[in-house]
Amino acid sequence: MADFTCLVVEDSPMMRQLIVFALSRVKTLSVVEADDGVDALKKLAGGRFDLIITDINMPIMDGLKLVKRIRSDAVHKDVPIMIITTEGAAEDRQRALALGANAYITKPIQAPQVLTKVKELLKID
Amino acid sequence: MSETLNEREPAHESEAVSLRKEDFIETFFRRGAEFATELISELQSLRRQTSQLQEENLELRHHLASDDAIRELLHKIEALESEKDHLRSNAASTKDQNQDFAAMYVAVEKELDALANLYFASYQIHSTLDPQTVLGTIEQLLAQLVGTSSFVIYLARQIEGERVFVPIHAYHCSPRQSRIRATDGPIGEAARDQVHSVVDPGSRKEEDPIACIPMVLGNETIGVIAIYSLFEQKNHFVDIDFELFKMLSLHGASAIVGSGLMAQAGSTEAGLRTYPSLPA
Repeated sequence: MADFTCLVVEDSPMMRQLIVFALSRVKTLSVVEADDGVDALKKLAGGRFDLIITDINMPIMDGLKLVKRIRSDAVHKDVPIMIITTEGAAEDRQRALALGANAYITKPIQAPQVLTKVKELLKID
Repeated sequence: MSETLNEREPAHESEAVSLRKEDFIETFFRRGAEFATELISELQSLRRQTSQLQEENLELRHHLASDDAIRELLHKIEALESEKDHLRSNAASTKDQNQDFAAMYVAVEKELDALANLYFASYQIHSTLDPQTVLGTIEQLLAQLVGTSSFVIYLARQIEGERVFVPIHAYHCSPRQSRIRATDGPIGEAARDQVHSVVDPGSRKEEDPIACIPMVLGNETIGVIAIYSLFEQKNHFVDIDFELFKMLSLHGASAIVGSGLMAQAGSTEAGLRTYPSLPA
């Protein structure tokens, strides 16, 4: 049984698979996938998560609204959130961090970079 | 009277003898006592000397023992010093080896990441035979793995007897030209050379792409992917991008042609019929 559970929220199936593929190298981590913000809230209501990785630009509910909702959720308000996005501008980063995101990575992603950040947020050696 | 005197003389003599004897004895004993005293004194002195010599002897023995211990300790120190030098040399060599291993580990990790991306990309591109999904996958691979923000896919056509490239898919941009001759500009050059290229910024015209990826099937260039811009945070291509270009060049071409034929055939059945069955 995995020690940690991570929710990956990404509307691009290919990008989602790429992130899941990278995360598969952390053996103690199990992954749950969501297509967008609304789907993510449903998954969050049904379980406990140790880490949330989300894109920003998604249909129905974007990543920033999702971060805001998570930070006001009693169960997951303290769960670390990592943003993976194409938005590389400094103001986008500042906005996401101000809303409560813990890490901000821009695409294209490199798996080692994502893994290092994931281990840092989960405090895994 | 004379007789008395004569009788008295021997008495005097014996008295004198007796006195001499007494003197002698007295002297003898006195001398004996003195000699004994001298002997006792000498004996005591000898005893003291013996005791002193014994103490000195003991002390010398201790010295000798401690000298041996010191010699032994010095030998030990020498051996330990030699061992320390040996260990230091080993530690330095191990440190060098560790640094080599760490560098190798980083290189292997990088290579593994590149291979994982290539595996992922080729798996994705061949996971469908629907032409629009193939184009969508190429789009996603270029955007998500390379960081391309705009590009156009051109495919080869024979128009009015001339081989040209026409745009069939554009991502976040409009095609600059409706047809490009197979020999014109960076696109024509990439098609002719069948090698991906990054256009030199110094000689690049405004309508030119920044990079071209020819799609090659067998010896034929069936199309070219022209990249026009990258994400704001990405200012240059990296090694893994060129590996992906090579993969797209071969696998992109076969996926596009394969999915096109599949769309024409209408079902997998037609494709499967091209493989004749073996006689029983």
